[in-house]
Amino acid sequence: MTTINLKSMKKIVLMVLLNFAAAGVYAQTTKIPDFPDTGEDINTYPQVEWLKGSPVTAFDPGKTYIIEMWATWCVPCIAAMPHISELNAKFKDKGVVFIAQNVMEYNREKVIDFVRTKAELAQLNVAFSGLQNSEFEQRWIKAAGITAIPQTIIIQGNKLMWQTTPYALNEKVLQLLVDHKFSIEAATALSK
Amino acid sequence: MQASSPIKDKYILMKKTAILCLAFTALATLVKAQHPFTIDGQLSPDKQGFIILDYSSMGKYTRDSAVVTNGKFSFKGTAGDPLYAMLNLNPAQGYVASGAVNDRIKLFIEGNTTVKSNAGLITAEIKGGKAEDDYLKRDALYKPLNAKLETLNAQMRPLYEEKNAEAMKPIKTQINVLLKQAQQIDSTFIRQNPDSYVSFDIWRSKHSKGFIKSEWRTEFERFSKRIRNTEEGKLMAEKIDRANNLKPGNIAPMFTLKDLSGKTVSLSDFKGKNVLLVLWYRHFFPFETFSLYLRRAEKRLKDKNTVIVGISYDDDTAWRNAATQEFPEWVNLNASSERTSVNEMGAIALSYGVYSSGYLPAAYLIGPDGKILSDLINLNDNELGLKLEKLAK
Repeated sequence: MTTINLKSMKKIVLMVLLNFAAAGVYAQTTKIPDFPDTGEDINTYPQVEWLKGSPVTAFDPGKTYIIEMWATWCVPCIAAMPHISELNAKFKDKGVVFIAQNVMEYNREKVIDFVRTKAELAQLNVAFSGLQNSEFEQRWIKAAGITAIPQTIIIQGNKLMWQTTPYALNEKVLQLLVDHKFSIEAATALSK
Repeated sequence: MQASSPIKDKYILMKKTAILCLAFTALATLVKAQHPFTIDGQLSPDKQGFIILDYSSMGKYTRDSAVVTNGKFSFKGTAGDPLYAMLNLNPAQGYVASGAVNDRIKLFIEGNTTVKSNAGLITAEIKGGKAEDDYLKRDALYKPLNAKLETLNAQMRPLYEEKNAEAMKPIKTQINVLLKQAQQIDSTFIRQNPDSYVSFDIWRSKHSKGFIKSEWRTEFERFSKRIRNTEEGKLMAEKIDRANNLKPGNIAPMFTLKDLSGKTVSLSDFKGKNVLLVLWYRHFFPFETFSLYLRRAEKRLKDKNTVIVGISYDDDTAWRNAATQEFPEWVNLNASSERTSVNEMGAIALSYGVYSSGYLPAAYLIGPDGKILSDLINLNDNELGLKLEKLAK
């Protein structure tokens, strides 16, 4: 069982946020539609390069998707991977699809090398978002106001269920989803 | 006539600006009690040049300078509270090589202070008022920690250069232990010295980030009456009272401002409706995220009998552009003209506990009866809309 030091992780997340602040100068000029809010429809996955596993283009309404955004430079993201990998092993046969979506970096070779050597990623679907201003970056990262990672997006029945972090995920929360009893309140209570 | 060196001229100019600054400060704090202070120094007689004196008081920064002749110097001034200050002998100008050591010392100025040394400032012996005595007491408690910290830093430096993260870990752990011990020393010092301005200053600096909370009152009231009646003490009491008056259930402070069309709008115009009051400006990061979360909140509040009232602190043009582009459905008001050199954000922001632009954006939800429904709202929250939806009446 891997334990994650939540406190130190939160500190790192903040640091990541500050790092990314520097990138804020590349402000968006054309207006892109907002990323769906909780409870709103979401049907398709942006075009990305699938490095591992089975590609997802449209969400299957009968399935639950856990999209875990990470980068090779993001220490807390990497620290959360064993945890995500364990949850994947327990829930992948219960209609839950885990996607480890690489974001906020553009060195494809570096990402590919990392994915090749990282055992925790072996059983996951892994995708590279592409170069700067990729569809994923435009329609998800920027449109969702995401300025720091790790960040987790949960989709079920073609609806956005929750935008959270990997620390909020555990077996009980996943079970709520599998049982179709998910609500943010219930999940928040269980993730504490 | 003796030709003065360019460096000297620069400092003389500086001294004049410092006096000007002082004059403004004095104007702003005219009603506040001012006490004279003096600093008389005698360093080693071979010391010549200038000493810079830096301090902040009641949010205003002041720099003064004095000539050092054969080690002798003096300063005169007035201050409300004891001043936490720094003296700096011949500070380096422009680019400073790393590792260069400044000859400086920190002290508390209160009444008459003497600075004596047979070398430079670092080793000077300072005698002053009670605040300086207390400061030295606390410094003595810190001494063993500082010695350990220095050793650890020396071990850390080469490892940092080598980027040896593994070897740095145990040292970092030890440093963290020391920092915790320092915190422990401070909280014990504060508890044991309720009549010390130094205690209060340490406590205040630990509470300098983020919003003032009414819950601080218990700790604040442990300080002696003398401390609570200092200028900074009175200011803190005022802010804690205000935070208390802004808690849910209290009547929201009134305001009257002009909207984009020039029409006068008051908070009372919205009686019978929820008001999400947002104090904001355009240029902070991440503005896009703020704007997205508020667009989402707007959608969720649409059927909740709620108006969003934005008070902008941008200048007129920036406000008009941002408000029409980003928040066309809001009641958009501007309060930038309320900002003065004395009151950074103006009376309305002040009444809502917003003391500087660093507090922006800030928001409150106000009920149909004009009473505050929420504590100050964390806007950087992707569940903002969900939370507001539940709070609205």
